[in-house]
Amino acid sequence: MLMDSFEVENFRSLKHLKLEKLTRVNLLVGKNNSGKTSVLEALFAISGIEDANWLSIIEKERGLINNEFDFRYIFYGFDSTLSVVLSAIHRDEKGESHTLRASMGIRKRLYAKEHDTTIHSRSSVLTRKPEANVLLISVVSPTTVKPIEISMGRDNNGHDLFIKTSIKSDKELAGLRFPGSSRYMVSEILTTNIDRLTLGQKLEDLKFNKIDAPLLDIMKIIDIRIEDISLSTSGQIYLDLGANFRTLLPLNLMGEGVQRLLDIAAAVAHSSGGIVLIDEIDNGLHYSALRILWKGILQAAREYDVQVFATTHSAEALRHLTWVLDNEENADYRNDVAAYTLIRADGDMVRTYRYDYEQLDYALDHGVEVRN
Amino acid sequence: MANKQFNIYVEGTDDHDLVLVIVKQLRATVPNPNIKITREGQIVTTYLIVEDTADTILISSIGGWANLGKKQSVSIQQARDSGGKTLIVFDADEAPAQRAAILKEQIATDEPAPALFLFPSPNQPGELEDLLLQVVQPAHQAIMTCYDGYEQCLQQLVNNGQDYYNTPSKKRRIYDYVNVMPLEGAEWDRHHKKGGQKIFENPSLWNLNAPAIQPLRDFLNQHLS
Repeated sequence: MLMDSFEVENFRSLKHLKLEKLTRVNLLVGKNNSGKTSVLEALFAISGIEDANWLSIIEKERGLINNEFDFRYIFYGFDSTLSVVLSAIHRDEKGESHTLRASMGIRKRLYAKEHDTTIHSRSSVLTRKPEANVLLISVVSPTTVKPIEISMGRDNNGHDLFIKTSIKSDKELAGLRFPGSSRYMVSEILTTNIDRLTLGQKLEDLKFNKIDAPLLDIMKIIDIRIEDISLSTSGQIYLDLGANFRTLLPLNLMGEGVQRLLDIAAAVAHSSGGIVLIDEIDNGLHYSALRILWKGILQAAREYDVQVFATTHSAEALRHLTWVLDNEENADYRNDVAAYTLIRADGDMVRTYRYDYEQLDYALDHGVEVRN
Repeated sequence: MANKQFNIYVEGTDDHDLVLVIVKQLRATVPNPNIKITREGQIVTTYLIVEDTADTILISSIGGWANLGKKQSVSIQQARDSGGKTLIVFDADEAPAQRAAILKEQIATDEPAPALFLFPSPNQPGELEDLLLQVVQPAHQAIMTCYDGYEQCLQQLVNNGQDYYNTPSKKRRIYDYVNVMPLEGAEWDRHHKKGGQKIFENPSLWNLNAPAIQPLRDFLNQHLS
Protein backbone atom coordinates (compact mmCIF):
# COMPACT_ATOMS: atom_id res chain seq x y z
CA MET A 1 0.00 0.00 0.00
CA LEU A 2 1.50 3.27 -1.16
CA MET A 3 1.10 6.86 -0.08
CA ASP A 4 -1.61 8.38 -2.27
CA SER A 5 -1.19 12.08 -1.60
CA PHE A 6 0.98 14.40 0.45
CA GLU A 7 0.37 17.97 1.55
CA VAL A 8 2.81 20.41 3.09
CA GLU A 9 2.22 23.75 4.79
CA ASN A 10 4.89 26.15 6.02
CA PHE A 11 7.74 23.65 5.94
CA ARG A 12 11.20 24.85 4.88
CA SER A 13 10.85 26.62 1.50
CA LEU A 14 7.29 25.42 1.03
CA LYS A 15 4.43 27.71 1.96
CA HIS A 16 2.01 25.22 0.52
CA LEU A 17 2.29 22.24 -1.79
CA LYS A 18 0.16 19.21 -2.57
CA LEU A 19 1.06 16.08 -4.49
CA GLU A 20 -1.83 13.88 -5.58
CA LYS A 21 -2.19 10.48 -7.22
CA LEU A 22 1.24 9.38 -6.05
CA THR A 23 2.49 6.13 -7.46
CA ARG A 24 5.44 3.83 -6.88
CA VAL A 25 8.18 5.93 -8.50
CA ASN A 26 7.56 9.66 -8.25
CA LEU A 27 9.80 12.24 -9.87
CA LEU A 28 9.91 15.84 -8.77
CA VAL A 29 11.10 18.20 -11.48
CA GLY A 30 11.43 21.96 -11.54
CA LYS A 31 13.77 24.88 -11.62
CA ASN A 32 16.29 25.57 -8.90
CA ASN A 33 14.62 26.75 -5.71
CA SER A 34 11.26 25.34 -6.73
CA GLY A 35 11.18 23.35 -3.48
CA LYS A 36 12.04 19.84 -4.68
CA THR A 37 14.50 19.04 -1.93
CA SER A 38 12.20 20.50 0.72
CA VAL A 39 9.53 18.02 -0.42
CA LEU A 40 11.96 15.16 0.14
CA GLU A 41 12.79 16.53 3.57
CA ALA A 42 9.10 16.82 4.44
CA LEU A 43 8.49 13.23 3.34
CA PHE A 44 11.49 12.09 5.34
CA ALA A 45 10.12 13.92 8.37
CA ILE A 46 6.65 12.42 8.25
CA SER A 47 7.91 8.94 7.53
CA GLY A 48 9.77 8.83 10.83
CA ILE A 49 8.33 11.72 12.77
CA GLU A 50 8.90 10.17 16.20
CA ASP A 51 12.63 9.94 15.62
CA ALA A 52 14.83 13.06 15.66
CA ASN A 53 16.88 11.52 12.85
CA TRP A 54 14.94 13.50 10.24
CA LEU A 55 15.91 16.72 11.96
CA SER A 56 19.56 15.70 12.23
CA ILE A 57 19.73 14.74 8.56
CA ILE A 58 18.28 18.07 7.42
CA GLU A 59 20.72 19.94 9.64
CA LYS A 60 23.64 17.88 8.38
CA GLU A 61 22.78 18.21 4.70
CA ARG A 62 22.07 21.91 4.97
CA GLY A 63 25.19 22.63 7.01
CA LEU A 64 23.29 23.65 10.12
CA ILE A 65 25.22 21.53 12.59
CA ASN A 66 25.94 24.42 14.88
CA ASN A 67 22.38 25.54 14.55
CA GLU A 68 22.31 29.17 15.35
CA PHE A 69 18.71 29.35 14.18
CA ASP A 70 17.39 26.91 16.68
CA PHE A 71 14.65 25.10 14.67
CA ARG A 72 13.51 28.22 12.85
CA TYR A 73 14.85 26.74 9.62
CA ILE A 74 12.04 24.17 9.76
CA PHE A 75 9.50 26.94 9.24
CA TYR A 76 8.65 28.67 6.01
CA GLY A 77 10.32 32.08 5.90
CA PHE A 78 12.08 31.28 9.20
CA ASP A 79 8.86 32.36 10.86
CA SER A 80 8.45 30.15 13.91
CA THR A 81 5.08 31.68 14.73
CA LEU A 82 3.66 29.64 11.85
CA SER A 83 2.39 26.12 12.18
CA VAL A 84 3.97 23.44 10.02
CA VAL A 85 1.51 20.80 8.83
CA LEU A 86 2.48 17.63 6.99
CA SER A 87 -0.36 15.36 5.85
CA ALA A 88 0.10 12.01 4.17
CA ILE A 89 -2.93 10.15 2.85
CA HIS A 90 -2.81 6.48 2.25
CA ARG A 91 -5.52 4.60 0.38
CA ASP A 92 -6.19 0.99 1.19
CA GLU A 93 -7.34 -1.77 -1.15
CA LYS A 94 -10.97 -0.82 -0.56
CA GLY A 95 -10.24 2.73 -1.68
CA GLU A 96 -10.71 4.16 1.80
CA SER A 97 -8.32 6.92 2.76
CA HIS A 98 -6.36 7.20 6.01
CA THR A 99 -4.60 10.39 6.99
CA LEU A 100 -1.44 10.76 9.03
CA ARG A 101 -1.10 14.38 10.03
CA ALA A 102 1.77 16.01 11.89
CA SER A 103 1.56 19.58 13.13
CA MET A 104 4.63 21.39 14.38
CA GLY A 105 5.05 24.57 16.34
CA ILE A 106 7.63 26.25 18.51
CA ARG A 107 7.32 26.74 22.23
CA LYS A 108 9.68 29.39 23.43
CA ARG A 109 11.33 28.36 26.62
CA LEU A 110 13.10 30.72 28.96
CA TYR A 111 15.24 28.94 31.51
CA ALA A 112 15.09 30.04 35.06
CA LYS A 113 18.19 30.96 36.94
CA GLU A 114 20.65 28.15 36.47
CA HIS A 115 23.83 28.94 38.26
CA ASP A 116 25.77 31.63 39.93
CA THR A 117 29.15 32.05 38.31
CA THR A 118 30.47 34.35 40.99
CA ILE A 119 29.32 32.48 44.03
CA HIS A 120 32.64 32.93 45.75
CA SER A 121 33.06 36.56 44.87
CA ARG A 122 31.86 39.49 46.81
CA SER A 123 29.29 40.66 44.28
CA SER A 124 27.04 37.90 43.08
CA VAL A 125 25.95 37.99 39.40
CA LEU A 126 23.32 35.55 38.27
CA THR A 127 23.40 34.25 34.70
CA ARG A 128 20.75 32.63 32.61
CA LYS A 129 21.06 30.19 29.79
CA PRO A 130 19.94 31.82 26.56
CA GLU A 131 16.41 31.50 25.41
CA ALA A 132 15.93 28.10 23.82
CA ASN A 133 13.11 26.83 21.66
CA VAL A 134 11.36 23.50 21.76
CA LEU A 135 9.85 21.97 18.65
CA LEU A 136 6.44 20.58 19.52
CA ILE A 137 4.94 17.99 17.22
CA SER A 138 1.43 16.66 17.44
CA VAL A 139 0.61 13.61 15.35
CA VAL A 140 -2.85 12.32 14.54
CA SER A 141 -3.61 9.12 12.69
CA PRO A 142 -6.80 7.09 12.26
CA THR A 143 -5.61 4.53 14.79
CA THR A 144 -4.66 6.90 17.58
CA VAL A 145 -7.26 7.67 20.21
CA LYS A 146 -5.61 10.95 21.07
CA PRO A 147 -2.80 12.86 19.41
CA ILE A 148 0.72 11.69 20.05
CA GLU A 149 2.84 14.51 21.40
CA ILE A 150 6.52 14.78 20.62
CA SER A 151 8.90 17.51 21.72
CA MET A 152 12.43 18.08 20.54
CA GLY A 153 14.88 20.47 22.08
CA ARG A 154 18.58 21.05 22.63
CA ASP A 155 20.96 20.60 25.48
CA ASN A 156 24.63 21.27 25.87
CA ASN A 157 24.51 24.77 24.43
CA GLY A 158 22.50 23.67 21.48
CA HIS A 159 24.68 20.79 20.40
CA ASP A 160 22.66 17.79 21.54
CA LEU A 161 19.14 17.04 20.41
CA PHE A 162 16.81 15.57 22.98
CA ILE A 163 13.41 14.13 22.31
CA LYS A 164 10.45 13.40 24.54
CA THR A 165 7.32 11.63 23.36
CA SER A 166 4.02 10.61 24.83
CA ILE A 167 4.47 7.21 23.19
CA LYS A 168 4.34 4.61 25.92
CA SER A 169 3.75 1.41 24.01
CA ASP A 170 4.36 -0.33 20.71
CA LYS A 171 0.64 0.01 20.10
CA GLU A 172 0.90 3.76 20.25
CA LEU A 173 3.97 3.71 18.05
CA ALA A 174 2.04 1.66 15.52
CA GLY A 175 -0.45 4.52 15.46
CA LEU A 176 2.09 6.49 13.49
CA ARG A 177 1.71 3.99 10.69
CA PHE A 178 -1.19 3.25 8.49
CA PRO A 179 -3.61 0.48 9.38
CA GLY A 180 -2.45 -2.86 8.14
CA SER A 181 0.75 -1.43 6.77
CA SER A 182 4.32 -1.46 7.96
CA ARG A 183 5.03 1.55 5.79
CA TYR A 184 6.63 4.44 7.64
CA MET A 185 8.76 2.07 9.62
CA VAL A 186 11.66 2.80 7.33
CA SER A 187 12.73 5.55 5.04
CA GLU A 188 16.03 6.48 3.48
CA ILE A 189 17.16 9.79 2.06
CA LEU A 190 20.00 9.72 -0.44
CA THR A 191 21.98 12.75 -1.46
CA THR A 192 24.47 13.03 -4.29
CA ASN A 193 27.38 11.92 -2.13
CA ILE A 194 27.71 8.19 -1.60
CA ASP A 195 28.32 7.35 2.05
CA ARG A 196 30.28 4.10 1.66
CA LEU A 197 30.26 3.36 5.36
CA THR A 198 26.47 3.47 5.50
CA LEU A 199 26.26 1.59 2.21
CA GLY A 200 28.45 -1.16 3.67
CA GLN A 201 26.21 -1.40 6.72
CA LYS A 202 23.12 -1.74 4.55
CA LEU A 203 24.73 -4.46 2.46
CA GLU A 204 25.72 -6.30 5.62
CA ASP A 205 22.12 -6.11 6.88
CA LEU A 206 20.81 -7.42 3.57
CA LYS A 207 23.25 -10.31 3.53
CA PHE A 208 22.58 -11.15 7.18
CA ASN A 209 18.84 -11.26 6.47
CA LYS A 210 19.41 -13.20 3.24
CA ILE A 211 17.46 -10.72 1.12
CA ASP A 212 20.34 -9.62 -1.07
CA ALA A 213 19.66 -11.94 -4.03
CA PRO A 214 17.29 -9.52 -5.86
CA LEU A 215 19.84 -6.77 -5.32
CA LEU A 216 22.43 -8.85 -7.13
CA ASP A 217 20.00 -9.38 -10.01
CA ILE A 218 19.52 -5.63 -10.27
CA MET A 219 23.26 -5.02 -10.33
CA LYS A 220 23.57 -7.52 -13.16
CA ILE A 221 21.49 -5.12 -15.27
CA ILE A 222 24.39 -2.71 -15.22
CA ASP A 223 27.13 -5.33 -15.52
CA ILE A 224 26.28 -8.93 -16.28
CA ARG A 225 29.69 -10.02 -14.97
CA ILE A 226 28.84 -9.15 -11.35
CA GLU A 227 28.60 -12.49 -9.57
CA ASP A 228 28.67 -11.33 -5.98
CA ILE A 229 28.92 -8.31 -3.72
CA SER A 230 31.01 -8.87 -0.62
CA LEU A 231 32.29 -6.95 2.36
CA SER A 232 35.62 -7.01 4.13
CA THR A 233 35.80 -6.94 7.91
CA SER A 234 36.84 -3.29 7.63
CA GLY A 235 33.68 -2.51 5.68
CA GLN A 236 35.30 -2.27 2.24
CA ILE A 237 32.81 -3.20 -0.53
CA TYR A 238 33.99 -5.56 -3.26
CA LEU A 239 32.45 -6.86 -6.46
CA ASP A 240 33.24 -10.28 -7.86
CA LEU A 241 33.40 -9.98 -11.64
CA GLY A 242 34.00 -13.66 -12.26
CA ALA A 243 36.83 -15.97 -13.25
CA ASN A 244 38.49 -13.49 -15.60
CA PHE A 245 39.39 -11.28 -12.65
CA ARG A 246 41.98 -12.78 -10.35
CA THR A 247 40.85 -10.75 -7.35
CA LEU A 248 37.72 -9.07 -6.12
CA LEU A 249 37.34 -5.49 -7.31
CA PRO A 250 36.89 -2.66 -4.79
CA LEU A 251 33.67 -0.75 -5.45
CA ASN A 252 35.47 2.57 -5.63
CA LEU A 253 37.37 1.34 -8.71
CA MET A 254 34.10 0.77 -10.54
CA GLY A 255 32.41 3.48 -12.62
CA GLU A 256 30.20 6.08 -11.01
CA GLY A 257 27.10 4.51 -12.56
CA VAL A 258 27.76 1.20 -10.82
CA GLN A 259 28.36 2.93 -7.50
CA ARG A 260 25.29 5.12 -7.77
CA LEU A 261 23.04 2.24 -8.78
CA LEU A 262 24.33 0.08 -5.94
CA ASP A 263 23.77 2.94 -3.50
CA ILE A 264 20.19 3.42 -4.69
CA ALA A 265 19.35 -0.27 -5.04
CA ALA A 266 20.77 -1.04 -1.59
CA ALA A 267 18.72 1.80 -0.09
CA VAL A 268 15.59 0.42 -1.75
CA ALA A 269 16.35 -3.13 -0.62
CA HIS A 270 17.09 -1.92 2.89
CA SER A 271 13.79 -0.01 3.08
CA SER A 272 11.49 -2.85 2.13
CA GLY A 273 7.90 -1.74 2.64
CA GLY A 274 9.03 1.84 3.12
CA ILE A 275 10.05 4.99 1.32
CA VAL A 276 13.27 5.98 -0.43
CA LEU A 277 14.01 9.60 -1.20
CA ILE A 278 16.71 10.43 -3.73
CA ASP A 279 17.95 13.94 -4.37
CA GLU A 280 19.24 14.73 -7.89
CA ILE A 281 18.96 11.15 -9.02
CA ASP A 282 20.95 11.61 -12.22
CA ASN A 283 23.74 13.65 -10.66
CA GLY A 284 27.15 12.74 -12.02
CA LEU A 285 25.84 9.96 -14.24
CA HIS A 286 26.77 9.61 -17.88
CA TYR A 287 23.72 9.47 -20.13
CA SER A 288 24.56 5.88 -21.06
CA ALA A 289 23.96 4.84 -17.43
CA LEU A 290 20.56 6.53 -17.14
CA ARG A 291 18.48 3.79 -18.74
CA ILE A 292 20.13 1.16 -16.60
CA LEU A 293 19.55 3.30 -13.54
CA TRP A 294 15.83 3.67 -14.30
CA LYS A 295 15.35 0.01 -15.08
CA GLY A 296 17.15 -0.91 -11.86
CA ILE A 297 15.03 1.47 -9.81
CA LEU A 298 11.74 0.31 -11.34
CA GLN A 299 12.66 -3.32 -10.75
CA ALA A 300 14.01 -2.77 -7.23
CA ALA A 301 11.07 -0.62 -6.11
CA ARG A 302 8.62 -3.31 -7.08
CA GLU A 303 10.76 -6.21 -5.87
CA TYR A 304 11.13 -4.70 -2.39
CA ASP A 305 7.71 -2.96 -2.29
CA VAL A 306 9.22 0.49 -1.88
CA GLN A 307 7.82 3.88 -2.81
CA VAL A 308 10.47 6.11 -4.40
CA PHE A 309 10.55 9.90 -4.57
CA ALA A 310 13.38 11.43 -6.58
CA THR A 311 14.30 14.89 -7.78
CA THR A 312 15.89 15.86 -11.07
CA HIS A 313 16.15 18.88 -13.30
CA SER A 314 17.54 16.93 -16.20
CA ALA A 315 15.33 16.61 -19.27
CA GLU A 316 17.73 13.94 -20.45
CA ALA A 317 17.07 11.85 -17.37
CA LEU A 318 13.33 12.06 -18.03
CA ARG A 319 13.84 11.21 -21.69
CA HIS A 320 15.77 8.07 -20.79
CA LEU A 321 13.03 7.06 -18.37
CA THR A 322 10.38 7.25 -21.07
CA TRP A 323 12.62 5.34 -23.46
CA VAL A 324 12.85 2.56 -20.89
CA LEU A 325 9.07 2.57 -20.54
CA ASP A 326 8.54 2.75 -24.31
CA ASN A 327 10.10 -0.69 -24.54
CA GLU A 328 7.24 -3.21 -24.56
CA GLU A 329 9.10 -5.53 -22.21
CA ASN A 330 8.85 -2.77 -19.59
CA ALA A 331 5.24 -1.83 -20.38
CA ASP A 332 4.13 -3.29 -17.08
CA TYR A 333 6.02 -0.52 -15.25
CA ARG A 334 4.28 2.37 -17.02
CA ASN A 335 1.69 2.86 -14.30
CA ASP A 336 4.44 2.78 -11.68
CA VAL A 337 5.73 6.20 -12.74
CA ALA A 338 4.56 9.78 -12.34
CA ALA A 339 6.44 13.05 -12.73
CA TYR A 340 5.48 16.23 -10.92
CA THR A 341 6.50 19.67 -12.13
CA LEU A 342 6.88 22.14 -9.28
CA ILE A 343 6.30 25.79 -10.11
CA ARG A 344 6.66 28.63 -7.64
CA ALA A 345 3.66 30.85 -8.32
CA ASP A 346 2.13 34.04 -6.98
CA GLY A 347 2.15 34.30 -3.22
CA ASP A 348 5.09 31.85 -3.15
CA MET A 349 2.69 28.92 -3.36
CA VAL A 350 4.18 25.93 -5.14
CA ARG A 351 1.88 24.55 -7.81
CA THR A 352 2.34 20.94 -8.83
CA TYR A 353 1.43 19.36 -12.15
CA ARG A 354 1.32 15.63 -12.60
CA TYR A 355 2.41 13.76 -15.74
CA ASP A 356 1.69 10.09 -16.16
CA TYR A 357 3.88 8.06 -18.52
CA GLU A 358 1.78 8.79 -21.59
CA GLN A 359 1.65 12.53 -20.92
CA LEU A 360 5.36 12.69 -20.13
CA ASP A 361 6.26 10.76 -23.25
CA TYR A 362 4.08 13.03 -25.38
CA ALA A 363 5.52 16.20 -23.84
CA LEU A 364 9.11 15.08 -24.36
CA ASP A 365 8.40 13.89 -27.91
CA HIS A 366 6.83 17.25 -28.76
CA GLY A 367 9.50 19.41 -27.15
CA VAL A 368 7.09 20.65 -24.48
CA GLU A 369 9.11 21.89 -21.51
CA VAL A 370 8.15 19.82 -18.47
CA ARG A 371 10.63 21.38 -16.04
CA ASN A 372 9.40 24.96 -16.45
CA MET B 1 1.95 39.17 -11.12
CA ALA B 2 3.62 36.14 -12.62
CA ASN B 3 3.97 35.80 -16.34
CA LYS B 4 1.11 34.28 -18.26
CA GLN B 5 1.30 31.25 -20.47
CA PHE B 6 -0.67 30.98 -23.68
CA ASN B 7 -0.94 27.71 -25.58
CA ILE B 8 -1.90 27.61 -29.24
CA TYR B 9 -2.64 24.07 -30.41
CA VAL B 10 -2.80 23.43 -34.13
CA GLU B 11 -3.07 20.30 -36.23
CA GLY B 12 -0.07 20.29 -38.56
CA THR B 13 3.20 21.96 -39.42
CA ASP B 14 1.70 24.37 -41.96
CA ASP B 15 -0.87 25.45 -39.38
CA HIS B 16 1.95 26.00 -36.88
CA ASP B 17 4.04 27.99 -39.32
CA LEU B 18 1.19 30.24 -40.39
CA VAL B 19 0.09 30.97 -36.83
CA LEU B 20 3.71 31.59 -35.81
CA VAL B 21 4.19 34.21 -38.51
CA ILE B 22 0.98 36.01 -37.59
CA VAL B 23 1.78 35.95 -33.87
CA LYS B 24 5.17 37.46 -34.60
CA GLN B 25 3.47 40.19 -36.61
CA LEU B 26 1.01 40.89 -33.82
CA ARG B 27 3.40 40.80 -30.86
CA ALA B 28 7.05 41.68 -30.40
CA THR B 29 8.49 38.33 -29.39
CA VAL B 30 11.76 36.49 -29.12
CA PRO B 31 12.31 32.73 -29.10
CA ASN B 32 12.65 31.33 -25.59
CA PRO B 33 16.44 31.11 -25.21
CA ASN B 34 16.20 28.11 -22.89
CA ILE B 35 13.94 25.89 -24.97
CA LYS B 36 14.91 24.60 -28.37
CA ILE B 37 12.37 24.67 -31.18
CA THR B 38 11.35 21.11 -31.95
CA ARG B 39 10.74 20.21 -35.60
CA GLU B 40 10.68 16.52 -36.36
CA GLY B 41 8.38 15.30 -39.12
CA GLN B 42 4.87 16.44 -38.33
CA ILE B 43 5.83 17.53 -34.82
CA VAL B 44 6.75 21.16 -34.38
CA THR B 45 6.76 23.14 -31.15
CA THR B 46 7.87 26.72 -30.61
CA TYR B 47 8.12 28.72 -27.40
CA LEU B 48 8.07 32.50 -27.73
CA ILE B 49 8.55 35.13 -25.06
CA VAL B 50 6.54 38.34 -25.47
CA GLU B 51 9.05 41.16 -25.05
CA ASP B 52 7.03 43.68 -23.09
CA THR B 53 5.18 41.28 -20.76
CA ALA B 54 7.55 38.28 -20.64
CA ASP B 55 4.49 36.10 -21.22
CA THR B 56 5.10 32.71 -22.82
CA ILE B 57 3.40 31.65 -26.04
CA LEU B 58 3.59 27.95 -26.88
CA ILE B 59 2.62 26.99 -30.43
CA SER B 60 2.45 23.24 -30.92
CA SER B 61 1.23 20.93 -33.66
CA ILE B 62 -0.45 17.89 -32.22
CA GLY B 63 -1.47 15.92 -35.32
CA GLY B 64 -5.18 15.34 -35.86
CA TRP B 65 -7.99 16.80 -33.80
CA ALA B 66 -8.49 13.48 -32.05
CA ASN B 67 -5.11 13.98 -30.32
CA LEU B 68 -6.36 16.97 -28.36
CA GLY B 69 -7.08 16.16 -24.72
CA LYS B 70 -5.28 14.33 -21.96
CA LYS B 71 -1.84 14.55 -23.55
CA GLN B 72 -1.88 18.36 -23.35
CA SER B 73 -3.58 18.37 -19.96
CA VAL B 74 -0.67 19.75 -17.93
CA SER B 75 0.12 22.61 -20.32
CA ILE B 76 -3.55 23.55 -20.43
CA GLN B 77 -3.75 23.60 -16.63
CA GLN B 78 -0.58 25.67 -16.44
CA ALA B 79 -1.94 28.25 -18.88
CA ARG B 80 -5.17 28.56 -16.93
CA ASP B 81 -3.42 28.79 -13.55
CA SER B 82 -1.06 31.48 -14.86
CA GLY B 83 -3.96 33.67 -15.97
CA GLY B 84 -3.26 32.86 -19.61
CA LYS B 85 -5.36 30.88 -22.03
CA THR B 86 -5.43 27.93 -24.40
CA LEU B 87 -6.26 28.65 -28.03
CA ILE B 88 -7.33 25.90 -30.39
CA VAL B 89 -6.83 26.52 -34.12
CA PHE B 90 -8.03 23.51 -36.09
CA ASP B 91 -9.82 22.63 -39.33
CA ALA B 92 -13.60 22.89 -39.34
CA ASP B 93 -13.88 20.09 -41.93
CA GLU B 94 -17.49 19.40 -42.97
CA ALA B 95 -19.36 20.53 -39.83
CA PRO B 96 -17.92 23.52 -37.93
CA ALA B 97 -20.43 23.53 -35.07
CA GLN B 98 -20.06 19.83 -34.46
CA ARG B 99 -16.26 19.99 -34.60
CA ALA B 100 -16.23 22.93 -32.18
CA ALA B 101 -18.40 21.05 -29.72
CA ILE B 102 -16.19 17.96 -29.87
CA LEU B 103 -12.97 19.92 -29.38
CA LYS B 104 -14.36 21.80 -26.40
CA GLU B 105 -15.59 18.58 -24.87
CA GLN B 106 -12.14 17.00 -25.25
CA ILE B 107 -10.47 19.56 -22.99
CA ALA B 108 -13.42 20.59 -20.84
CA THR B 109 -11.88 19.08 -17.69
CA ASP B 110 -8.80 21.28 -17.87
CA GLU B 111 -10.17 24.32 -19.70
CA PRO B 112 -13.93 24.90 -19.69
CA ALA B 113 -13.69 27.94 -21.95
CA PRO B 114 -10.98 27.59 -24.58
CA ALA B 115 -10.63 30.09 -27.40
CA LEU B 116 -11.50 28.29 -30.60
CA PHE B 117 -10.89 29.16 -34.24
CA LEU B 118 -11.72 26.80 -37.05
CA PHE B 119 -10.25 27.09 -40.55
CA PRO B 120 -11.01 28.52 -42.99
CA SER B 121 -13.05 31.17 -41.14
CA PRO B 122 -15.75 31.30 -38.47
CA ASN B 123 -18.76 29.08 -39.14
CA GLN B 124 -17.44 27.97 -42.52
CA PRO B 125 -16.76 24.34 -43.39
CA GLY B 126 -13.34 23.63 -44.82
CA GLU B 127 -9.70 23.55 -43.82
CA LEU B 128 -6.49 25.50 -43.68
CA GLU B 129 -5.85 25.14 -47.41
CA ASP B 130 -9.16 26.85 -48.22
CA LEU B 131 -7.86 29.88 -46.38
CA LEU B 132 -4.38 29.69 -47.91
CA LEU B 133 -5.84 29.67 -51.41
CA GLN B 134 -7.39 33.03 -50.56
CA VAL B 135 -4.14 34.58 -49.40
CA VAL B 136 -1.99 33.61 -52.36
CA GLN B 137 -0.19 36.73 -53.51
CA PRO B 138 -2.35 38.22 -56.33
CA ALA B 139 0.73 38.69 -58.49
CA HIS B 140 1.05 34.89 -58.69
CA GLN B 141 -2.62 34.07 -58.99
CA ALA B 142 -2.01 32.95 -62.58
CA ILE B 143 -0.28 29.85 -61.23
CA MET B 144 -3.63 28.75 -59.88
CA THR B 145 -5.13 29.07 -63.34
CA CYS B 146 -2.40 26.80 -64.66
CA TYR B 147 -3.21 24.38 -61.89
CA ASP B 148 -6.90 24.47 -62.78
CA GLY B 149 -5.95 23.38 -66.30
CA TYR B 150 -3.81 20.54 -64.95
CA GLU B 151 -6.63 19.34 -62.72
CA GLN B 152 -9.19 19.50 -65.54
CA CYS B 153 -6.88 17.54 -67.79
CA LEU B 154 -6.45 14.84 -65.16
CA GLN B 155 -10.17 14.77 -64.52
CA GLN B 156 -10.80 14.07 -68.21
CA LEU B 157 -8.49 11.08 -68.05
CA VAL B 158 -10.36 9.82 -65.02
CA ASN B 159 -13.71 10.39 -66.71
CA ASN B 160 -12.45 8.46 -69.74
CA GLY B 161 -11.91 5.36 -67.66
CA GLN B 162 -8.42 5.93 -66.34
CA ASP B 163 -9.85 6.22 -62.86
CA TYR B 164 -6.73 4.96 -61.19
CA TYR B 165 -5.26 8.49 -61.31
CA ASN B 166 -5.49 10.63 -58.22
CA THR B 167 -6.70 14.15 -58.75
CA PRO B 168 -4.57 16.60 -56.78
CA SER B 169 -5.74 17.74 -53.37
CA LYS B 170 -5.84 21.32 -52.15
CA LYS B 171 -2.85 20.43 -49.98
CA ARG B 172 -0.97 19.41 -53.13
CA ARG B 173 -1.95 22.61 -54.86
CA ILE B 174 -0.51 24.72 -52.02
CA TYR B 175 2.66 22.66 -51.97
CA ASP B 176 3.17 23.03 -55.70
CA TYR B 177 2.46 26.76 -55.54
CA VAL B 178 5.44 27.24 -53.22
CA ASN B 179 7.43 24.61 -55.10
CA VAL B 180 7.46 26.58 -58.37
CA MET B 181 8.55 29.78 -56.66
CA PRO B 182 12.13 31.02 -57.13
CA LEU B 183 13.19 30.51 -53.52
CA GLU B 184 16.79 30.97 -52.49
CA GLY B 185 19.11 30.10 -49.63
CA ALA B 186 17.46 29.19 -46.34
CA GLU B 187 13.97 29.53 -47.77
CA TRP B 188 14.80 27.05 -50.53
CA ASP B 189 16.21 24.63 -47.95
CA ARG B 190 13.16 24.97 -45.71
CA HIS B 191 10.81 24.13 -48.55
CA HIS B 192 12.83 21.59 -50.51
CA LYS B 193 14.80 19.87 -47.77
CA LYS B 194 13.00 20.46 -44.48
CA GLY B 195 9.48 19.21 -44.79
CA GLY B 196 8.03 21.38 -47.52
CA GLN B 197 7.69 24.52 -45.41
CA LYS B 198 5.53 27.19 -47.01
CA ILE B 199 7.57 30.28 -46.08
CA PHE B 200 4.54 32.22 -44.89
CA GLU B 201 6.61 35.21 -43.80
CA ASN B 202 7.61 35.90 -47.42
CA PRO B 203 5.25 38.63 -48.66
CA SER B 204 6.00 37.87 -52.29
CA LEU B 205 4.24 34.50 -51.81
CA TRP B 206 1.52 35.32 -49.30
CA ASN B 207 -0.66 38.29 -48.54
CA LEU B 208 -1.23 37.94 -44.81
CA ASN B 209 -3.20 41.18 -44.80
CA ALA B 210 -5.84 39.83 -47.15
CA PRO B 211 -9.44 40.18 -45.88
CA ALA B 212 -9.81 36.39 -45.76
CA ILE B 213 -7.19 36.03 -43.02
CA GLN B 214 -8.37 38.97 -40.95
CA PRO B 215 -10.65 36.84 -38.72
CA LEU B 216 -7.65 34.69 -37.73
CA ARG B 217 -5.55 37.76 -37.01
CA ASP B 218 -8.37 39.25 -34.93
CA PHE B 219 -8.80 35.99 -33.05
CA LEU B 220 -5.12 35.73 -32.12
CA ASN B 221 -4.87 39.40 -31.24
CA GLN B 222 -7.91 39.18 -28.99
CA HIS B 223 -6.90 36.10 -27.05
CA LEU B 224 -3.16 36.60 -26.63
CA SER B 225 -3.51 39.09 -23.80
